[in-house]
Amino acid sequence: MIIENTITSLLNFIPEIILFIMSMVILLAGLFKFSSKYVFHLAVLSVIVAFIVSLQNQTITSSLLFNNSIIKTNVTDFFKHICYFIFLVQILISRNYLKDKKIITGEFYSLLIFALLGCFIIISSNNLIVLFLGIELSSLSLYSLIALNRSSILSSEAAIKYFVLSTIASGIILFGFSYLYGITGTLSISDISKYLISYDESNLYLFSYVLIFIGVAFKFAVAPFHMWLPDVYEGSPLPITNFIASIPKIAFFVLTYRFLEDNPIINNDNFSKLLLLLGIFSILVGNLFALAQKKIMRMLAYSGVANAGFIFLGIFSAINNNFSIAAFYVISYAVTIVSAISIVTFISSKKFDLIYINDFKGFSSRSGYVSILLMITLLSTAGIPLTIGFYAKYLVLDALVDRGLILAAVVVVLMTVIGLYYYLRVIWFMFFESGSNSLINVRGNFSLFILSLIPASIILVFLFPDSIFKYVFEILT
Amino acid sequence: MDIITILFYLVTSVIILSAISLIIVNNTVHAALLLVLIFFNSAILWLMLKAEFLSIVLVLVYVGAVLVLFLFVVMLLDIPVRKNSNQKLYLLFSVVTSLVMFAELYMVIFYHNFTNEVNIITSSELNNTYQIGLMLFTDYIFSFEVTAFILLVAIIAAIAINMTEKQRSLRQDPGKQILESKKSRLRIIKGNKL
Repeated sequence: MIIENTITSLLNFIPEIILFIMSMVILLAGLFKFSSKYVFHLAVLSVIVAFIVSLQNQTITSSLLFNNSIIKTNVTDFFKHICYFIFLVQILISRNYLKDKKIITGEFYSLLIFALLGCFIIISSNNLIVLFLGIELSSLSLYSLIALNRSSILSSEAAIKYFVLSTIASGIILFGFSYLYGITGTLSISDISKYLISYDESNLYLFSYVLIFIGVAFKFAVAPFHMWLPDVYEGSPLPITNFIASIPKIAFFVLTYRFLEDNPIINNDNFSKLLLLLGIFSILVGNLFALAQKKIMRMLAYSGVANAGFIFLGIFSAINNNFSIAAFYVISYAVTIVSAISIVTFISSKKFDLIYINDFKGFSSRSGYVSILLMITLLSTAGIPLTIGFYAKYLVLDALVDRGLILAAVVVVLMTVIGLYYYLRVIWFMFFESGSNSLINVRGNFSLFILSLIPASIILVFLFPDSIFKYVFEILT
Repeated sequence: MDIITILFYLVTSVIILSAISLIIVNNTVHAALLLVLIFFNSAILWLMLKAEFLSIVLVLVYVGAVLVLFLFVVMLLDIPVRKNSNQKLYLLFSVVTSLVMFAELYMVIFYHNFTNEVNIITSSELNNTYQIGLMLFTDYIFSFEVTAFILLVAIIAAIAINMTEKQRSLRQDPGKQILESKKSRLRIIKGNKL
């Protein structure tokens, strides 16, 4: 019985097992001189194989694996596929950058795949212990990935800051878990979120949820817990920044979805007010601080804070278990920020690091195509029509107005308009200022093709949104 | 009050006092030793909950291995205690924040009546260690494996971060030693050329 269960679970878990085995193979391949050249190819191959197997293994019915510790539904499958896609784009773009920085080693790719595995475990966990282990697996790999670039002082600083603060957040999450276990007497997340249907809501239950969401807010970098984000964005190597900005956010969104799905606590006044206030405060802080930034990565970090605020507002407005708005926002933001950071990685992968926003001056005369791609991406982050970001922001605002929170919606719109300034400044520098830097890298047909995938899909989804909207709404309501 | 209750209050007060002094103490060696005291007392608490295997593991693993390593590191590095100039300001803020948090926790936890408490599974036939082993390799096999991943990541990361291209260590290279000639090592100077 137990053995049968384990075998069926293992069969359903093949993509992750492939990734794990291949990360070991990559680690070994990196050790020898003759094979260390093929580390990158092995990494790409393993991710593609896992992606294809995962696409083949899709199920419509949800199933519980490994004695209820892992859940596999169409929601987890969908988010995992988006993670695979984003991850592929990231590692395909980052090759030349890593070669230039001399950190293209077996350890790098194997730790990166471990971080991805940790995020997958977060996405599909149905057990508090497994969930916490997934959080630790992904963040431990990320700390060490940031610290891997030892020649840079900024990297070490970022690694230490991320390590200390993120550990505190993990501790707070664990504290909340322990009280949840004490109250409900079960470790299964689906049982915990259904607990309120049969029992009264107690203050302690609410308190443990608040603790967990403080931890989640930290991982999302929502405003009072955002202090680590700019330094980490600035200090870590760009491919790692690319990872931190996108995939953990998707994973933690699925975590919040699992905790709040079918749970009456989302209608609790105190709890939903927490989400609302955190969201609005974060939009205020993110947009205002981003105005003053001189470095491109710090600017993107603060814009990430503002967008995390939007995600929290989306979760706040998920009143009838309708998480599709927040899910759509998370996906569109993750894909867009990956495109933006990938373009910066691509530009600065030849002896020159593009750090300051001023460096974008006259960029369109160097390469009009890349600057148009960056323009589309930035406009999507800002939420201008003709891009997917417009729908995402519009849906969140629409939900806010539906709940009668006109004032909040007005504040959010004002802040978004202020935020437009710093996105447009980059575009202005690119197209209307003179000056050109010959060290900027604009070559590489394959990279250009990969880079243009996301901006093209941003516009295509805006023009033909029906199928994707329908799919997201169908699986998340 | 029976003896168990008295013991409980004694042990918990030692834990709380040593935890507070762990934060206040300036000397890192003293802090590590206070942590040892905390672990020992928590082990006693677990023993009182009839979890004898876990309490022994706590002492063996944490006190025996982790903290001894920690003490070694602290003693070898000899980190000087730095006086921060605005330490008093930090102290004020931290005391206020922790008092507020304590009040909140007190209000929330002590007014909660734990009706459906977690049932402690006690079976007379199987002992504690056996049961833990059984659970670990059947129900929690996935968590067990993920823990192994995490330890693996820690090993990879520790080696990858510390591995340098340049040889900083004092390791001897036998090949270079053999190739060394007399000329490169020895210079004979005649007396009048000094």
